[in-house]
Amino acid sequence: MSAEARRPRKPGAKKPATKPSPARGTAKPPRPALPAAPAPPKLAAPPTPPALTAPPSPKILPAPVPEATPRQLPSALRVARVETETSSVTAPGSVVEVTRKTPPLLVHFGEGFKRVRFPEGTRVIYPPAPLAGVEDPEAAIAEALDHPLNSEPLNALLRPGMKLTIAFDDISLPLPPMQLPDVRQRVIEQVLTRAAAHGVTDVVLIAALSLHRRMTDAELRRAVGDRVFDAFHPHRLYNHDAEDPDEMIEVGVTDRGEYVDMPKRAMDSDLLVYVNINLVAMDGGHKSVPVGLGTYRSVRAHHNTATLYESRSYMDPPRSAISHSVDRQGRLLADHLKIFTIETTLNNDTFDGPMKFMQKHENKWTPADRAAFAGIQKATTTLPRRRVRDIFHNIAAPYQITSVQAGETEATHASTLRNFHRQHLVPVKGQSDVLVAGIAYLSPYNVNGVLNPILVNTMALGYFFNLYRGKPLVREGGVMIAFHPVDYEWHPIHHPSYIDFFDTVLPQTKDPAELEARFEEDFAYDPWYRHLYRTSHAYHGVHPFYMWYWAAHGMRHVARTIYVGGDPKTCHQMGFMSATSLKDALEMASDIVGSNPSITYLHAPPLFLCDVT
Amino acid sequence: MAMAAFVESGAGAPRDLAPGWTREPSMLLARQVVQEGLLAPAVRVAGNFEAFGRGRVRGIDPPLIIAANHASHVDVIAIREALPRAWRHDLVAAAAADYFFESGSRRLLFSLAFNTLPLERHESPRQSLRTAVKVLRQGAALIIFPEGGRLDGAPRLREFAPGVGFLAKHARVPVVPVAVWGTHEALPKGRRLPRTAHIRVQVGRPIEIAEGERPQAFTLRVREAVRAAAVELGAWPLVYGEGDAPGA
Repeated sequence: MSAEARRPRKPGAKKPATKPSPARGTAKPPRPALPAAPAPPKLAAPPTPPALTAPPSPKILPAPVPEATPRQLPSALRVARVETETSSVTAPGSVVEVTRKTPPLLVHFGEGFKRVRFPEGTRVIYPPAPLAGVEDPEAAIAEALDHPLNSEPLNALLRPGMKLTIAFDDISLPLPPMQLPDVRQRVIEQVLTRAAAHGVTDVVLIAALSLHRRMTDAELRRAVGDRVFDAFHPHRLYNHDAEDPDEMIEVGVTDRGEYVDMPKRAMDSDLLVYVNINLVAMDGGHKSVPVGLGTYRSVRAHHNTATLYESRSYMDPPRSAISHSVDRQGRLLADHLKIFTIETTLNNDTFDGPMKFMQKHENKWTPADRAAFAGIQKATTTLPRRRVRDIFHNIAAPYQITSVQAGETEATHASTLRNFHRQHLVPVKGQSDVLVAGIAYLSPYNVNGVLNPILVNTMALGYFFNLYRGKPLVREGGVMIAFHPVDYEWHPIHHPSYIDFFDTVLPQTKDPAELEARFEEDFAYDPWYRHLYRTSHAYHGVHPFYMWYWAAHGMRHVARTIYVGGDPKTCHQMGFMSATSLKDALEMASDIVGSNPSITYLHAPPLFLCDVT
Repeated sequence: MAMAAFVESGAGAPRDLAPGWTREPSMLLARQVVQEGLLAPAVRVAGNFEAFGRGRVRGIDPPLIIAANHASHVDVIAIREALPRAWRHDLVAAAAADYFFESGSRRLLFSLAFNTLPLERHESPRQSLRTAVKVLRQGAALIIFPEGGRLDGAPRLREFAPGVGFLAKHARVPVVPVAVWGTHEALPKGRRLPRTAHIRVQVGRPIEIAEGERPQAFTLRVREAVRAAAVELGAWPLVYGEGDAPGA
């Protein structure tokens, strides 16, 4: 077979593709019409560099190629398409095509990395360059509180003698945890300062962790800051407990039979303020309160296979059944409780210092980046596992706040999504036969813990597969290839029910609907798991089921999932294959997608959202 | 009441990052008593103390940075004794926030004794570096240990963290390199009570960051200057001991 014939087809191209697509490398196709983005927030002026930041690294800017011909393009990295939602306000993401001269690409591999040479023609999707943050975050927050959307200003809602409850996102956001001060701290301090000025004394803060594990004191302190923690913890700053029979009450049932349960404290409050961080498009909105402060009964209303199969994708709220379900719950709740929602968006500046190379195009790596990569890769292979884990989990992202909006939940969230899309949206044309992703060390459910095999799959077929709106990046019946060691390793404190789920449930069935029907309630109502959830730092007993369902649509959509570098036994137990290299994985996929499949590689993190047309 | 406690705690920056109370007059007086009456005599008498190179910094006034190798809690006292007396009121010691500021009693003790300024080692240091720049701009002589922590194991000069370069660049102040020897025997890491030892301190020649010089490159120069001071001191393990190679 000639080298040309081996070249993968362009994603979205028709079979056969033994010839290079004539469109590749030629002038960029016209930009599709997209809805105009909102004007930037008033306070989103270009930031002045803080006094102590290093000189800014070269931005990940795609080559300006509107009129370019192949000869004019950089030979090593031919830009296939560079499009933005609205060029004046959107960070440019880039879709590039691997050529003969493209260097090996960085691929996350758990608590480590690989440099992998991809077949020519592979489409690589890079995250957009980070947007500038608001110049003065405190002023941006104040502006949002004073000029909320579809609501009176916060000050007008505060009065002496009232009960105020402040709920906030838990440790699952943002990822990685952000450099201090955390945006939650900034917002909560402003809310509390205003409450104090208006004579409000009855205030409680609740970490809205839903069925996630309780945050440790140190984690709570990190999220809300010393000042808030020292003043309110433990009696007036605490973790939500979805299993507290004395505290959780039923608010009502939606017309679709979805229960809405809430803590008594919240329902007795005159005002509930919710402080959110939006990292992916499914965060925020009505999902915050009914889910974050709900019970197993109210969460299972949408965390079930039927709903999740119909969420295409989670990141596309209008086409997400889970989003519709939480909207119904939220609207019912809004009839009973005054909620003032504060949502924030961050840019995607995820790594700094020596880790900065992770968010750069490989052909833009400086000698320092190459040295940092080599050093870190060496460290990950030579240092003890525990030490490596510490290094990774100590990464704090230099995120900057790109917008703050507040007010009535739906109006606020609509604005949030527009600002989210400004940073994260990458237009992509067409599906591919194979989707490749490197699974890093972190997910929303293993902060300061272990990314166990179930969570690895959740990341691959749950999150990465769902980083789209429109249609999936991989065609139905295609193949998902993910890089991760998939070791049989668990955090016994965080994930006790995961171990039993893996060892006792998966050998019997891997079908999400069947295991939901046969086993879910056993785990959900298990008194020991319940005890650990309430008193230790364990995820709820039902959580591994939800993580499996989370990948249900992805598992059904692709014909095969292959983990490169994955432990064969562990992969097999989950119903997946393992391969030793990308080349082997493609060989193993060839009976499904042929010998020259079109390939898309998601170069993430940092995260982004593909608008697939 | 929680709200009252919140209001009383005041607004603004995280409390721990700029403990202004440690520089209030009463605290300055108390520190003077502790340092002059207790710690300095203890080092001089029990430590068989020698200092060299003070003349090199004569005529230079704070603000400036004093960068030294780090083996023991005694280092700060030894360095203080080796520097011009005129600087003593302006001395501020950068200390690991996760260690010295973890508990209230430890924070009080070390702030009282050494006028400590917390420096983040595990979180992002950006906020604490900003505070350090602020303190330098107020005229401080900031003692910083760029190795990041006390010596653990065989004596050697370890890699320097680039914070010293960032501070020099952003505060535009000179750096005085200092080599300290013998404190690792006087009060090694893990030991609670000091023992007698021969402590020697060499003050090196001040250096300044050049226009356009990168902080990381300047940090390497600072390390070399400390190493040169160690050569003068004859502290051969510091000079030849197996450490992390610069920039490794």
